Amino acid sequence: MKYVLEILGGLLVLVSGLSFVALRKRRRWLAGLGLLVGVTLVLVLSGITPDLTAARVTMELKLRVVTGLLSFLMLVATLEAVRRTQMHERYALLWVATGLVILFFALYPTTILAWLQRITGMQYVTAIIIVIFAFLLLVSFHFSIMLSRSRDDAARLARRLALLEQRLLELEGAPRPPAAPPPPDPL
Amino acid sequence: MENWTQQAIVLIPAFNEEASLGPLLDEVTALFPGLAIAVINDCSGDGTVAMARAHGAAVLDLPCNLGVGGAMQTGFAYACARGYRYAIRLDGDGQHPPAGIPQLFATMRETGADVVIGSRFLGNGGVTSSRWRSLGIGVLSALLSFACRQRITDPTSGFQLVNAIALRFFSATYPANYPEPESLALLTRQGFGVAEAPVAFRVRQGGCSSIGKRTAFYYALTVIMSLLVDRARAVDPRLARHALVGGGVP
Repeated sequence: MKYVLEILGGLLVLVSGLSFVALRKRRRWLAGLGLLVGVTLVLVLSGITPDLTAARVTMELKLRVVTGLLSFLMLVATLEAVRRTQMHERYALLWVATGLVILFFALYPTTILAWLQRITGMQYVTAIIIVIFAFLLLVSFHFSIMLSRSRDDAARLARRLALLEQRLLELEGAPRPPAAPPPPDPL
Repeated sequence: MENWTQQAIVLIPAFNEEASLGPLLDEVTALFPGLAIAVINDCSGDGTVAMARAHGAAVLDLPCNLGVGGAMQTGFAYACARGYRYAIRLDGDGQHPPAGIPQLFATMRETGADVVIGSRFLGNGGVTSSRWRSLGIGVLSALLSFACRQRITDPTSGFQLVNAIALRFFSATYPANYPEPESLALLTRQGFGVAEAPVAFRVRQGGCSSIGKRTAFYYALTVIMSLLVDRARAVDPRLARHALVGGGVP
């Protein structure tokens, strides 16, 4: 029963993927059925595996389950937001990457994370928090840049609009400011 | 430059300045008949726009609040597009005396500078500030004087006269937040000449300083950071003074 978590995670992803596709095609009953199957699978699997309910479940395993579920929710939420055109693909990319990385570390803790732990001497918890933190930092940095750019765009539009509005008023015959400047003197 | 009232425009950035704007506009018109005025309304919630129009000023009405920097850039772009040779910035609160404008022109004529700033502290102007404020201004003045390689006594003064070349530069790029000190540093970096003229400021007629007690520290940090970051940025050759003299509008 060593790979129970992996199997469980895989099945969950599969079933949720099916539900996602079903939702997309507006077959709500199929999606509901998929979710039901998923929940049943989880219940059954957690029933037959002693690992999840036994008192000797390690802290690390619990953490893996929590982070795995979190990243999974994150992925689903991101994809759903893109599907509903609430989020642009270019912004979704970093979120999807973040979700995938966290999911990867939850499913395979013995690969890169173990290497990170070995060279830094960190505990599992610290390592995973650092990885998550780094990615969230990246995401918020990306946001700051995008926000600044968006603010610049808005300011440029506002300036252009103010100039055009005044020009329109003048063309419509509102009193022009005096003095069309005479030929310039050399500077 | 003798008939400057025909070639200049007064730019007044205004944010909720309904009370002080009317008397200021009347004063400018009485002193210099025929001088063009544009009020840039930075999304005020009061009757600033109506007040400005009623007193014969053109109004550039911004749909969202851009801050003094964004408002001034709008004004500079307007002056540039309409072909004015000079732009004078006055604050809407009546702190800057319009009677000081000829003094700015005189200094520009003497020094040949592209931008002239009305300074409170040059000569015996004499507006006394609180101790902390004068300390802040002193530090900023020292830093800015170093950045500009020349003495700048009043780094936060918004009373300025800008000629056509600097207008082209400012309508292309102007700092967004607390623009006065940073714009001077940018100007000297791009090869423009800056000079100061002694002007006695008046007591604010209405409204309040955009730099309150709580934001003063934030102000100082922002300005110092932007001054440092500007030093680390390369000079933009397209916006250098010699590139803009020929009339090339970026």
